[in-house]
Amino acid sequence: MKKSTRIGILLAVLVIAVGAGLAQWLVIRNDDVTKAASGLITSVEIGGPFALTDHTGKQVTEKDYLGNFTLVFFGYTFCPDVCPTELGDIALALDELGDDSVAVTPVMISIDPERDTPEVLSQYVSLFHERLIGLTGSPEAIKQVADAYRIFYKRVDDPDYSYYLMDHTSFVYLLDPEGNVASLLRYGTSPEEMASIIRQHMRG
Amino acid sequence: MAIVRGLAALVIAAGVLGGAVPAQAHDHVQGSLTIVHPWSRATAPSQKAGGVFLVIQNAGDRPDRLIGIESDMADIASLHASIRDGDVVKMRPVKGGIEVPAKGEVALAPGGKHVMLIGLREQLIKESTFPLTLIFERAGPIEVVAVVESAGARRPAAGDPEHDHDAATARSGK
Ligand SMILES: [Cu+2]
Repeated sequence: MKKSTRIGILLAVLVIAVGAGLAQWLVIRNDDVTKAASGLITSVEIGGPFALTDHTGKQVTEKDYLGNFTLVFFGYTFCPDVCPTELGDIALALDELGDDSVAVTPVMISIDPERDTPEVLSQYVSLFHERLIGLTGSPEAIKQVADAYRIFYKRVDDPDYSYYLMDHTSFVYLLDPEGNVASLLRYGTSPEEMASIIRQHMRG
Repeated sequence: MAIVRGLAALVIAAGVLGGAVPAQAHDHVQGSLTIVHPWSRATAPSQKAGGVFLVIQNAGDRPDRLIGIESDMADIASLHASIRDGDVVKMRPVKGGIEVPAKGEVALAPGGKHVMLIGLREQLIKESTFPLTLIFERAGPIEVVAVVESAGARRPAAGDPEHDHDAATARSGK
């Protein structure tokens, strides 16, 4: 074997080893967040009470959704790419659940309350699912619920134009009928995976 | 290919007339560039932003670059990319355009690069179409017609034989 070939193999092995290590580290790290989300790590508490307005203009709190599983997504209607993709996936997951889907309430909480009034949300939510609930509120109320759910969001202005975009965490949370976070579904979780995770929790 | 081009002509004709067209694959060919099935997503009247997705194929020996978008549908039409930063998603304008490699292709697809329509002047209604112009550095302007899919569509209902997405389009078919 030529010396250069040997070095090549050695390098390849090294790259694979480092890659595998990194992959494992990522898995562990993700797993920790999921554990935290599912209450297995009690030092990180996620979720809690909120007081918001739904897309029909009704004042609501977390208590209005108890008794059913809830899928909670944080997004905004001015987003034409990631948010519709996530909401489309949530709707597909509900389809996948068939008759069991009545036990799940899909909810989108706006992190852009300035533009997402109840009227704006009411036109938007029905595009995705007939039972999708849109929630908004005062900037303070949104900040409170986003903080409780560890959601980062930030307004980003375009210096050239008058519009703005939002950077935001794209988690979907599954809450159990008691309102506790049962699972955290990251952006990119397929509708089939979502449905199977929900099924697992339904079986208890 | 001739059939596909014929279809494209039909779609363009229908688009110009402002009518709804059946969701079928359509391509636009100009020189060595093919714009494959431009599509968009339905919006609510209250929604002031929309996205357009498509694939650009370059059969030529020289790279080209998508440098701009023109559309009467919105106040601003620009090139954007959704970027993942850990669990945070961000949308940013693409500076300097999008390169289309020689003998290669580039996809504008949900979760990545897209055409962003800001300040929509019209609601985008499922199964309707609208024109927009892609401006290339070398090939110049190419007018295409985008087909509007359901609001949460991940991909167009037609033009992608690997997947069956009847469910995705039937679901929000209202
Ligand atoms: Cu965008």
